[in-house]
Amino acid sequence: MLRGVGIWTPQYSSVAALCTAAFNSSAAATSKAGLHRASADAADLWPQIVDAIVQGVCGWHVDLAGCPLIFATTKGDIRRTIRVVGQPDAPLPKLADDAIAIADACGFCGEVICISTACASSLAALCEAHLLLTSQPSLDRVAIVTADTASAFVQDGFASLRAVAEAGARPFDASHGGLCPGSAAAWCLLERGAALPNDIQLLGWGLANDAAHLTAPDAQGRGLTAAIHSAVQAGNMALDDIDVIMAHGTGTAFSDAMEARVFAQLFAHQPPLTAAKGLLGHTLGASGLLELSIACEMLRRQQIPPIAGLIRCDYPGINPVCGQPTQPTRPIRTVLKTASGFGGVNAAVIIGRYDR
Amino acid sequence: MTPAGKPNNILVDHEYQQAFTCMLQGPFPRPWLETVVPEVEGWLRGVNDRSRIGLFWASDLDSLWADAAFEISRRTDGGRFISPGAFRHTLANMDAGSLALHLRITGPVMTFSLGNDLEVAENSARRFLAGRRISAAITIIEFSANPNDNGTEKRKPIYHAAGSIERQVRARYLALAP
Repeated sequence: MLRGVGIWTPQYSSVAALCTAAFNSSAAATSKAGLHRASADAADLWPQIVDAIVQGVCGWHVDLAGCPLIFATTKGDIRRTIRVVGQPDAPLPKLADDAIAIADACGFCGEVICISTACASSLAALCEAHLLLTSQPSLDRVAIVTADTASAFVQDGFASLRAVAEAGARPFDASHGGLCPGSAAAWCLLERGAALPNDIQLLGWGLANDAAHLTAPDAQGRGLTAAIHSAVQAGNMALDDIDVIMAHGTGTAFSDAMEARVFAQLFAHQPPLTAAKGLLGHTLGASGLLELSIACEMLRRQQIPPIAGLIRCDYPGINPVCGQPTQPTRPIRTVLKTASGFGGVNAAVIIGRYDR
Repeated sequence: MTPAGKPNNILVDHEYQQAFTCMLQGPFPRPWLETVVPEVEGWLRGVNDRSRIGLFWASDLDSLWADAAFEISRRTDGGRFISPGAFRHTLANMDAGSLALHLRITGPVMTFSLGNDLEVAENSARRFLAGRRISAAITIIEFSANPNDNGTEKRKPIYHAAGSIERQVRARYLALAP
């Protein structure tokens, strides 16, 4: 069971606030989440992010003794790296230090694992958590925490790739304007045990690598296709059982085209497709779990939020939700969440209501 | 060079050039990694379907040396020469991605930041194997010569991370019992 899902972004401090915005977003409402360079470097949000995580974890009210923590991030607290440049006496930082600091702050005393698989980091962490839980019968739960910031470092990097949409991201829109970096944290527990009717289950997952290019997705989408097949197979499901797709949807031409191609090829029944980066920006490794919080709410509300910023989609064979929240034509029992990233990584996770 | 156009006392041109040269040489910009590639290639000889092979990677430096080089480029001449080629290496999974690309591994590629547990990648690989998610795994960890020595080895100047920190690489091949 997926429990205790919480999020923090500079704009939204709870899942409820995020979902209020997500389910009421419109084509015009794109986020410029990361585009505030003139006022501050988002890297400085890290202490706020850690505070939010600590508060969120405290809110679980569960025994954390022996509970493993999987921390997922792409760049972690980049300020430490930036500080150390030019200071030969400074200790060399590593991402695992961020994981250990968060574990200490939250009171975890079990195993701490730090995963950094680019933009698929937090979905990969969820997969790792599932394996950890299934391989150790004595474990009751595994905690997953993820965080990343739209630091000036990251923004300069994406700008050098000419991937930034200054006006905000518009996933799957014909404008193909690019992505908009965002900052976020998200956390959840993956637990075994008795389920309640409203509980959300992790039904299946898959991870696969493109082995095609380091920074561009495989144009044929073979890695994502394999990840989706693997997730569906693990869930003892058929492709037709997917009721809604929540795509990675960065807003960049290559990534959107690859995803659209894969979804069109795999899903003949054209399930409704939504994406959240128009609202939240691209929150790097945190994006998977952050956006999964909206997917959980879709299962509860039986409603699908529109893709913020999407005005006109020119990809054939997909069914993007545009304009208003959509009541599905069939009950939402399952949601497929995908993520892809640099290095050729692809992740697919399927969640569903326990009482589906 | 700093944005003011004046070199500071630590970062001078040749060091920054060295870092960038290493980074852009590819496909394995960290020289010490090349030592394991022939061995890993040997393990995979004859394996045509590599969709059931997983690559599990752990490093105690992550992408630190690339981060440093990229940061230096941001500070140089007001950031006029920021390189997209450099930025891509600032992701901790890019070396694993490079190796997966080289070896055509299309199974899961997991990258871990190495904390206190040197076995993190191998433990993960074993879980994937036990869960029948893969049929074989390659695990690679790279770490400073003495991973527990926080007082000396890791305090070497960061710009030396591109070439002169003494590194160790350990590669293993794990497979399901037939």
